[in-house]
Amino acid sequence: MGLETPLALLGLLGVLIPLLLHRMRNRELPHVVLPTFALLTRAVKKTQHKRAFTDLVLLLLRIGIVALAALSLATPYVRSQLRFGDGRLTSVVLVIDDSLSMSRSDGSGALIEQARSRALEVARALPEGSELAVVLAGKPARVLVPLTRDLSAVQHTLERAALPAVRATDLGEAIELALRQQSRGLVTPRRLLVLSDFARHAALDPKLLPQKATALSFERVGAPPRKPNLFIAEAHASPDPTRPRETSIAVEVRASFAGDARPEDVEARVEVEIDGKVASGLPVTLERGAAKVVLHVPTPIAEDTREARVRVVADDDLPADNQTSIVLGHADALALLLVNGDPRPATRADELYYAARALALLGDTQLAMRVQTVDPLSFERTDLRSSDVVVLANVAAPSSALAARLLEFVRAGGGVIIAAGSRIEAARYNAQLSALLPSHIRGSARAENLRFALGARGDFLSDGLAGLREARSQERLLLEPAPSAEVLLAFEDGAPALLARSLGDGRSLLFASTLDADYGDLPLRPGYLALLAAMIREAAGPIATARTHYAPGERVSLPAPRPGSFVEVRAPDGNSTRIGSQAGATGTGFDATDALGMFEIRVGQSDAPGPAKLRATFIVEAPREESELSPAELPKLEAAGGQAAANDVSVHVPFSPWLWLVAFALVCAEGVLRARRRSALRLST
Amino acid sequence: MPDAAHSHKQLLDQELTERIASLRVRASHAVDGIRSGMHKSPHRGASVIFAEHRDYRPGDDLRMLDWRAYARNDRYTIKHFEQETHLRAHLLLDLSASMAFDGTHVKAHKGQASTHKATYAATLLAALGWILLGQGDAVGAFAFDSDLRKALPARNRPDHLEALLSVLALPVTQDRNTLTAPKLGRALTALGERMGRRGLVVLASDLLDTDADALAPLSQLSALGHDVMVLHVLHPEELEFPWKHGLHFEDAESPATLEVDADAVRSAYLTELDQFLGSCKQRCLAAGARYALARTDRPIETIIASMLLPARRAGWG
Repeated sequence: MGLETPLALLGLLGVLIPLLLHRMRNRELPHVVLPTFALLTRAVKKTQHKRAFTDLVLLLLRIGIVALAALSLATPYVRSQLRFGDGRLTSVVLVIDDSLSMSRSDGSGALIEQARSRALEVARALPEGSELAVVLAGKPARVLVPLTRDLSAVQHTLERAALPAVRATDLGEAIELALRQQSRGLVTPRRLLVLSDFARHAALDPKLLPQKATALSFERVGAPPRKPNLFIAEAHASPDPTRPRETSIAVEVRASFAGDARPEDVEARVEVEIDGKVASGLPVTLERGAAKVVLHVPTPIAEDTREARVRVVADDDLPADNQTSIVLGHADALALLLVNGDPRPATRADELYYAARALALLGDTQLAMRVQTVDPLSFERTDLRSSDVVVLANVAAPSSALAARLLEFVRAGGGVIIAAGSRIEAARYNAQLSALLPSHIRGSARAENLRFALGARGDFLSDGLAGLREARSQERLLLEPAPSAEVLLAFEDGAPALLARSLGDGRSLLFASTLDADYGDLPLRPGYLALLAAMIREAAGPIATARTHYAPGERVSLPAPRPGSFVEVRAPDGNSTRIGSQAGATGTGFDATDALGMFEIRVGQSDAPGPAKLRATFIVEAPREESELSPAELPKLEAAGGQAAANDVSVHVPFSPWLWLVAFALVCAEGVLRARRRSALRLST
Repeated sequence: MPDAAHSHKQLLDQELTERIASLRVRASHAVDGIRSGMHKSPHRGASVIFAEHRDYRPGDDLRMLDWRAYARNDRYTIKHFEQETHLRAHLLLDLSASMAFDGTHVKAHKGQASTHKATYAATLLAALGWILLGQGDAVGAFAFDSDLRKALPARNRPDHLEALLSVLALPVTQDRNTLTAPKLGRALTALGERMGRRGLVVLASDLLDTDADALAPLSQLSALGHDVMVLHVLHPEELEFPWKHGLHFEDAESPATLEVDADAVRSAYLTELDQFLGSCKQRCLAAGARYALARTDRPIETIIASMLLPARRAGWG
């Protein structure tokens, strides 16, 4: 503590003023002869103590006011150790690593909460007028608070922000984002502070670090882990043919060891929990940091769907990666009805020889399906209401009755895919299914090794033409698209290869090629699987979603709900997000995937009572790389050419404003004390 | 201290007598009197109003023996009649130094002779005397401070008013040491010995005395059958303590002084005053006397009128 103008302390002599005034009260007073003097004497005796005390308090208050005023004029200050910066206006961007490894606890609490506290310290240490932004480094990096001078708003947001810390790390992108934020600022100097555990998986490339203008600081949050971190590297389920009505779950458990610690055998236990109860469990010994184990659980009935939570029971610092989820059962699977127009069992000439195998390969991870195959005769008697999508593979034109049922099926929300073949008679098709078809079929024609090209909708195939580039067609249907038809895929000569049309709540697709190899080598190309899945997904609408494993924070693409219906996404914690239909939208997305476990996609009708029907599931699982907790070296700023910024600077903090404030408070107290005494006297009279 | 001496003519001017001309004073209970008057007498006797029969006791006036009853029953029976008598009133005026207070702030009401406590008390008693004499009662006066200053026996002569006013107009004592000895109790005791037959006793005083039992003689007067009224004369400034800031207070009856912040002690003073007034009233009532606070800023006739009303309505204790 010190004084900037010590001479002002001479003002302390002013404390003599109230003392003198107090003494001057004994001046010559007016005389009054009072007959009731005895009463006055008794009253004085009773009030003497209180009055003396009040007078003393008033005297002390007045002395305090004068003393504080003198002290304030002397401008006292204290040396304060700033928790960040040097007390000058600064533009600061905080990068907080909210990846999964930051959910680790080091005994002082979760690292993400320690980072939050440190960020709040920085926000409080900055003087008013400074700029501050907060960027989260969980993948994908995003801005929590845009650059602003409203530091209290930043603090408020920081205090209340949900930081679940389940994502992968994206420090490089976060720093890029932070620099872009800072480039909007007007204040200099500029500083960028990265708060992270700087585990090995989050190693930064020094070349990505800023070269000039911005001073960069790295602060490692939390103490290094001391125990091995066990995590589930992989888990998958499949029906066990050796054990009827049982499903086997293969689990691979791994351990990451702190620093250069030599891998040692680690004992643990792997359990599968279904509906909150442990359905199966086995002890496991991790030799050299890895172990595999197979557990068996009862297979749910086909109409049922269960989330099986697989976890490794271990005492480590990062429990979040000790668990993953598997979906059992097929209640959510797509009901696909394949109509084989040219059945030739067990031969490649069978119309569905390739398609059936491709669909089997798709598996639950790409498109969960229950597949039923029928011939055209059986198809006539099949109840379409139990199917979501009907695939007519080289099927002769249906009867009028069946055509009407198909039309009704599509209008009610079903999907129909019509694939070409020798049994397609253009005239009959045009006659029977004109209301359903997205195109008029002119007939078929030979072609010479025609390639496929992208259609009008670029997002139809997620990987574009990859896997289809080598496909050649020697024959095709000649199509004249209806005005309402969409070209999903084309031939290189511009003719439509795949057309789609919405009809009522459903959708019909017409493929100008065959599902077998009659019209070309498409079934032999790797893109065949993706094209088949895309066609089924397109026909099925919002109910078709792959049982995909997503990373936390990743956007899940969903087909847009049909008019009058909605999609509801239920998170593992039970919270639901409802997505309504939007005019003209063909797809939508779901971003709230910051939770680990199984998400349910349910589809319901807006005007229909009752719960929405489960149509799909997907898993959000912990990013495996986050389980590697060994600390990496902090980026070498000299090598990167950046500027290290020193923290914890000592500054002079004047506190005379506070003294003035206290003096003002004393003035108020003195006034109140006097007023209360007078008021009490007035009331008493 | 203002001069408390005043002319007896100032006590009872024409304006005041006009305001009180219609008033009449009655004793609240029977009093002794020589002549018949408007007050109920404790004596049965020569009257037309029959009261009761009772057995003869030795010493009874044989003139009151009911011979007819004796003749019939062979028993000596005394026949009682209600007797009305005139009133013997004794006006007691406190002239101690404390009664010289005339305040420093409060203005007198219109129609009030003065806010001087002693003058106000004297005027009050003079007005009473004038009424009593006018209705044929005998009025006496006693002026006292620490001792009896002057006594005027109760009489009802045409020139008695002049004598009465001359006693009431005596100046207040200037001796500040009167408080060293109890004044009121001693004076009342002495006065009680001088009063003869039971009658009306009206005391006008500020009741300030060092002796807590100063009002004890009132009970003796009541026991002797006197109808005792106490007019507690106080100045508004004594009742309200209007002073502010620091003041040098002097006792009116002793050399004692006190420097006081008036604002600071007002509340406590008023509390003490309330206790003092309550104590005085309680002691008067306990002694069988009637009590009324007579503020010197209140018109004289208001106080007298309240004496004529039933006790509870008039504010008498």
